[in-house]
Amino acid sequence: MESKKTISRRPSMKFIASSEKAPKVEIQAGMKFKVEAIELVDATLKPIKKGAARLCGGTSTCLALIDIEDLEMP
Amino acid sequence: MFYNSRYNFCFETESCHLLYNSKSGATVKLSGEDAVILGEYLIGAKRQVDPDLFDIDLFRYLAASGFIVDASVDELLDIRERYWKARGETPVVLTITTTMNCNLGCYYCYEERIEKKLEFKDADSIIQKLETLFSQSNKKSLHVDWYGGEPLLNIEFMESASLLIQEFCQKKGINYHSSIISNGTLWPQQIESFLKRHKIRQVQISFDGLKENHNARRRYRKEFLSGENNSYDLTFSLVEKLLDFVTVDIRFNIDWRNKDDIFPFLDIISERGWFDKMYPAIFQPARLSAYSERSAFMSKKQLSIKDFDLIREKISKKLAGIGKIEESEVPDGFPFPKTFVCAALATDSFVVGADQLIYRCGLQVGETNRATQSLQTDSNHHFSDNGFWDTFDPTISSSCSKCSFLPVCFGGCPKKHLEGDQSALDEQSEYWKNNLAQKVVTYFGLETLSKVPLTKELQFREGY
Repeated sequence: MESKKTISRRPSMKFIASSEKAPKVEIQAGMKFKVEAIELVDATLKPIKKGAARLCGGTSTCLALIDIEDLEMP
Repeated sequence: MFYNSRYNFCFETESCHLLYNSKSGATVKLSGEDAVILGEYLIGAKRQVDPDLFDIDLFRYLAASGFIVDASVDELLDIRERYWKARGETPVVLTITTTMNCNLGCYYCYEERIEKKLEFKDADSIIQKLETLFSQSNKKSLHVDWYGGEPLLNIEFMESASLLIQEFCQKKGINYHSSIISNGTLWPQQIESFLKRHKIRQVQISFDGLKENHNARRRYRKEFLSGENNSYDLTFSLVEKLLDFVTVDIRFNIDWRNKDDIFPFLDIISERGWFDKMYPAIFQPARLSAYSERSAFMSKKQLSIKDFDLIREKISKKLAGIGKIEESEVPDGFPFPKTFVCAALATDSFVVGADQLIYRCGLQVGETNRATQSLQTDSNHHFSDNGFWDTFDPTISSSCSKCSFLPVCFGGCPKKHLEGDQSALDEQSEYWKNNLAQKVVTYFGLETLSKVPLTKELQFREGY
């Protein structure tokens, strides 16, 4: 599968209708989804780069972010 | 048997759909005539997924990326294991409150400005704590975060303790770095040597607006005022010098009354080249709010999360291509699933208060009922919060365990859980409802025009 990081077009965005408790999907007998898929971010868990030390940023999250990515490196 | 993941989201743009999974972080661009149907098929309430609906390669990819889950997989259990691993593995951060005192009297401050400060003998006690900690841990690094009050009001302690701790680390083969949070008014003349001597690689300096607002808010307290009340110029010129040697996080505190200062301030610092320096400035908008129980009065003065988010979004747009803005919720710019916890939850991290008590969170310093240990071995202080900190697990919380934002949030601020501050916890939900889609979409250069928040039904899926 092709990996691609950026998309040059800048379209507007809307959300898939989400007020329905169960999305309405019409599945026909014998159908297969006709979809092209391009992976943008893979499922590998990324190493931590920043850690929160102290001090709230006002949204109940720490804003004192310290670089910890390389701390455990020799 | 297969199911759709509880953590799937699908965001629609004019050209494509972005399918995103908050547990794996995987994001895929979908296009083609059935992209909408596939997106809707995979989000929402739990459903059995029929592999025959997919090309085999697509099915395998969606399964490998976590969008489709084998019935034997317990997604919540995976997140729980990830959370506890993060608590154990997050590097050691030691926050040292050299003093509770401060030369400035900011109206919103959550700390008591009292005379208490650490003394030379306390450095020995800190070393003993570190000795014990590292003998029981396989960690290879220590990050010290110098904190206050204004930490440089007790520079004597910092000078001696820093060297002792570095000596300890050198003997033990432990990698050492430090950072400091300061109001920028009491720095020594020899900045470069000071930074090098203490291995400081990050400095956080706060601004409260342009000169007029900053000086009105960050006023010198009477006993520290020796001339003009002008901390702004001193702090501003310090940052200009620091940026040649070290990363500086520019924390800009925002409320209703100073919000109009932000953009002129950004213009000034851009013109001064702060984002083009050897160490480009990092801009951190902060919402002045009730940070701790002591500053609960701020809850009536603070900006709403929605208004604050709008301001942050405007700042992001203004700084696009110019400078870096840092948001604590998404420190790497994309809502990657969390693999770390804050220092308060990290098993080996702790905060030394100027009152010789040890805390889990820096915001609790001085709230002695929240202390979890003492530096003094003979203390008879009663510590009642240890049970909470040792066992706090958002994956067993009645609300967080059902929430589809859990992998990117880990329950948010544990201190707010401890305090039972439901309105703050609700604000965290609100943040993700309002911003998750935009954070995913804008990372790939797509522009968001719609501001529709994600619904409660998407946050709490049925059937899981």
